[in-house]
Amino acid sequence: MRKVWNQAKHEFGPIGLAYVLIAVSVWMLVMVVAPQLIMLDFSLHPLLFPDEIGGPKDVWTLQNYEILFSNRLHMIIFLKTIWSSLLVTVFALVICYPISYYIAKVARGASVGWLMVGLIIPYWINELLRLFAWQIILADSGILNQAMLWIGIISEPLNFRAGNGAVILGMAYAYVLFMVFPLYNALESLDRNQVDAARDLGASWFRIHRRIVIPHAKPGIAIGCIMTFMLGAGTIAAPQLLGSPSSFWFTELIYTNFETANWNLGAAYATILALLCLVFMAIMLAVFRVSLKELSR
Amino acid sequence: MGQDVQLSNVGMCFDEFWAVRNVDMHIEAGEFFSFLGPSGCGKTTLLRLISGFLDPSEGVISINGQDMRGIGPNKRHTAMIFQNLALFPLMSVAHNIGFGLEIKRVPKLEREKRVDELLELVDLPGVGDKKVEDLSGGQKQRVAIARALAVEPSVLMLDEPLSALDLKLRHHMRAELRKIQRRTKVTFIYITHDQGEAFTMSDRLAVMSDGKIEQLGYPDAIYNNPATPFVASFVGETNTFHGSLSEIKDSSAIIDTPTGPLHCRNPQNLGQGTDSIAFVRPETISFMNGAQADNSLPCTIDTWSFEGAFITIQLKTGDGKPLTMRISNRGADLNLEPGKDVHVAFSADNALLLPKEASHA
Amino acid sequence: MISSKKVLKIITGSYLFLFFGYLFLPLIFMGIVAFNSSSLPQVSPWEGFTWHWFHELSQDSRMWDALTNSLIVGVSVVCISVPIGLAAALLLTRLQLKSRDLLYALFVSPILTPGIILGISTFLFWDRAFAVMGGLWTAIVAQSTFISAYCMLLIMSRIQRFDRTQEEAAFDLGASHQQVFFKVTLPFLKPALFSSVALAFMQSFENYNTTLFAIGFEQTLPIYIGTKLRQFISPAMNALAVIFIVLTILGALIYEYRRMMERRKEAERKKQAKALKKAMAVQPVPAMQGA
Ligand SMILES: Nc1ncnc2c1ncn2[C@@H]1O[C@H](COP(=O)(O)OP(=O)(O)OP(=O)(O)O)[C@@H](O)[C@H]1O
Ligand SMILES: [Mg+2]
Repeated sequence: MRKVWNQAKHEFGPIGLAYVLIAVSVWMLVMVVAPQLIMLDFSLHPLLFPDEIGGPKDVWTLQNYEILFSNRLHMIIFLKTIWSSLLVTVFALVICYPISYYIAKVARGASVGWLMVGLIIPYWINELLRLFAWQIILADSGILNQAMLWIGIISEPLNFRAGNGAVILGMAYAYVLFMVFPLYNALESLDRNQVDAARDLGASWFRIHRRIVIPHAKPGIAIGCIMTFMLGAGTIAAPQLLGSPSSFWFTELIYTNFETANWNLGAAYATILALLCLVFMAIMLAVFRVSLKELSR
Repeated sequence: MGQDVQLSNVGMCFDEFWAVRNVDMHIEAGEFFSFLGPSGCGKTTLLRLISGFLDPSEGVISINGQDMRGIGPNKRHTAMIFQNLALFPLMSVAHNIGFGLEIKRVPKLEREKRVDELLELVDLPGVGDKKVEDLSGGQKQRVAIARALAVEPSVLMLDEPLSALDLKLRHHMRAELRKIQRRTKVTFIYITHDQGEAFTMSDRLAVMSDGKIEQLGYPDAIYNNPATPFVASFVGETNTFHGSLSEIKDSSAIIDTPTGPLHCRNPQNLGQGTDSIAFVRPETISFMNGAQADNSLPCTIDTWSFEGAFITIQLKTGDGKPLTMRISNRGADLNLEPGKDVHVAFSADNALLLPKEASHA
Repeated sequence: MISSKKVLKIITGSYLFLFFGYLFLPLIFMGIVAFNSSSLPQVSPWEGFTWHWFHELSQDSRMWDALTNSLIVGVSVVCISVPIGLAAALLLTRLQLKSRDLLYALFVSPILTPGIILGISTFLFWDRAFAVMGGLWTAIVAQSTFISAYCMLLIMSRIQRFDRTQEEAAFDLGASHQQVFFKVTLPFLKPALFSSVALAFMQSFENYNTTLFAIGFEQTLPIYIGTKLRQFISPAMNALAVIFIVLTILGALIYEYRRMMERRKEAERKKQAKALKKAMAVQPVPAMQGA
């Protein structure tokens, strides 16, 4: 410890060291850790009237968490959130893997630049607007209904937004590109010669990907999946814009609790959401045997 | 003007590993001093200790009589030329050279004048506005020297500065460096693992191994009178004969080797029965010319190679031991044929006897 | 008979077509609506071209307020996140810490946390600790928690390519720690700092999930858009979308152009270095004139 301190003084000088230490500890302690602890604290207390706070009813309790397990509706919503985030993640992986591989290893010259621009534009456009685009497509008088009516598949416009489908479609569209860039980064460092060598040895297309390309892309796959799942499970924009009043999502549950000033239950559900993402991340890192460090590439 | 550097029992320990230990020596003011040693022996570490990037784990370094403990590199009258030069790529050549002066708040006009003088000194007039990346390797080298000299250091340290250059340029820069040192009279501390460099440039040099100074002295003394087996075999080429000291006669001694008894010079006055090694340089061996010699060995020619001014001959002694000799080419046909039997000789003075186990003070 | 290569080409082509169709068609539809006179946001029936919706958008004072707020928040987030990201990057790259990996995980954790959690926890913390109830300030802080981490990653990837001996050389020439930092290190990091500024501003400017929970009753542009889109939708929103899309396209083109230029420069430099080496190996050393 003493050695590190001396090294730090040596490296940064007194003013530099003060800057680094203050900036980082304000960030970590005041902006990240303390707020999380406060949120945890809220979640472990019951909802009380202001004059009851500090009184005999102000105790530590798990009752907010228990509500999730006792309320069937909430549980269904929670499971739906997990299920649809997984669905979106798998969908994103399936449709993004080929394009990432194509840009990283097949395409050459100027076309790489154009393909990248083609990915960056939709990626940079605000997520709300990306969801809005689907609002327009899926509206009762939207382009999809009109097209289907014109072809004659249906005779009455369908209400796409009644179920959960629209939200999942929107989620997929809004977050699919968070899979592309980690995958692309991982695949770009793959040595093309390896693939060529395998092809020379007569390995089939399927085998090359399974034995060489995918193992190499593992860190990218893991990080892409973690990001996509996290964004899917944590989105409030998608259900707000594309959901119907009859279908509720977990993030909306948290939001209504905040609107009705039941911060304690809201905090508990938020903590559960955070834990869910943490567990998913741990599973991905373990399954793909990668460490978080790969994120910096 | 140069200042002297005194190292008193200096040691440097990284996590239980002593990269430098027990260094006790003095570098004179205005001297061109070299450290010579194999890779990893602690040369860079020693230089970083003197320049202040590292604090010694033990011992004291003083420059010009002043104890340097607690004084950082930016406060010492030393300058360093790094192995990779470490020029600032985003600044022009002139800005690089003037950097130290800018830090010292030398007024702009004076600074520009100094930079021009320095460019003149290193024979690079007129390149001040160029970008560093547009220079050739040798030019970058000289810019680095000018940048270091700009702050008028008393001690200039150079960490294998020529190792990245090609052979011709390296030879040329040796002379250049020496010239600059004479002109500026700054104390140069030079690091290299190339003995040619160390011998041709230095006033004095120290040979290092495993963090220790093996021997310190003038180049010729180190070459002719190595103090330890390490120095004898690291500096120059040499043949070795292992054996036990059997007889002592005045200044010379006889050791029994598998090749036969050899008469040797015994400067360390080793006692009878000592396990020792005799070192014989290839160029001190000659063909027998009938006259009496201290040592003569019957050999067979194995191979030989013509090197212009020299001819190097690989021999095998009677007991099959390889032996190298080098003779100068006088233009005569020597009639060398592999397999031919010859007699070679060397004097006792040219066979240096050292103890097998180096005893360190 | 079609060769298998041709089949592969056709499959690849149609995949690319479908993929980019999927990405761009919704955006194109959304854009077209902005110019349709129909007061419902729809592509057809086409009731004639109009600029009307842009005009209507420009009349919306709440939009302008939200935009102002967004600019304030964006600039503040830049001012907080870039210095924090720089400090964290320096800490992680400069010190030989045993707990480096742990710290790294901690530092990137805000990126991996759902945005709404950052918003909620920041809101609760400021309410509890300082009795500050939501507003632009909490939105700024909440956004900075994860945007700092992005800045850190960007700066770190550049620091790792820095040759540290340059700093030592400057230090050796008499510079103080501050002088070394401002004269040598910072100029090297400049490109990464510029990208961090751009990234931080963009991330802040389009953030919805985190801001929604942290901001209380104020509105940034995304919050304004979100509120609008949940109510009756006017094609004025499409007009706004068109503006966003045009700006994004410009940004993406500039970004990619610069990236390409950088790559070309790098390649050029490598080529030159090679040529120089060759030339030096052949040319005799010019004779020196003694002084
Ligand atoms: N900061 C450090 N931490 C731990 N060990 C170190 C450190 N610096 C150097 N060493 C060790 O000290 C020894 C001497 O290193 P040094 O760089 O001084 O060698 P050198 O003689 O300059 O070698 P070269 O000719 O290869 O440059 C090496 O074994 C090296 O691994
Ligand atoms: Mg070294």
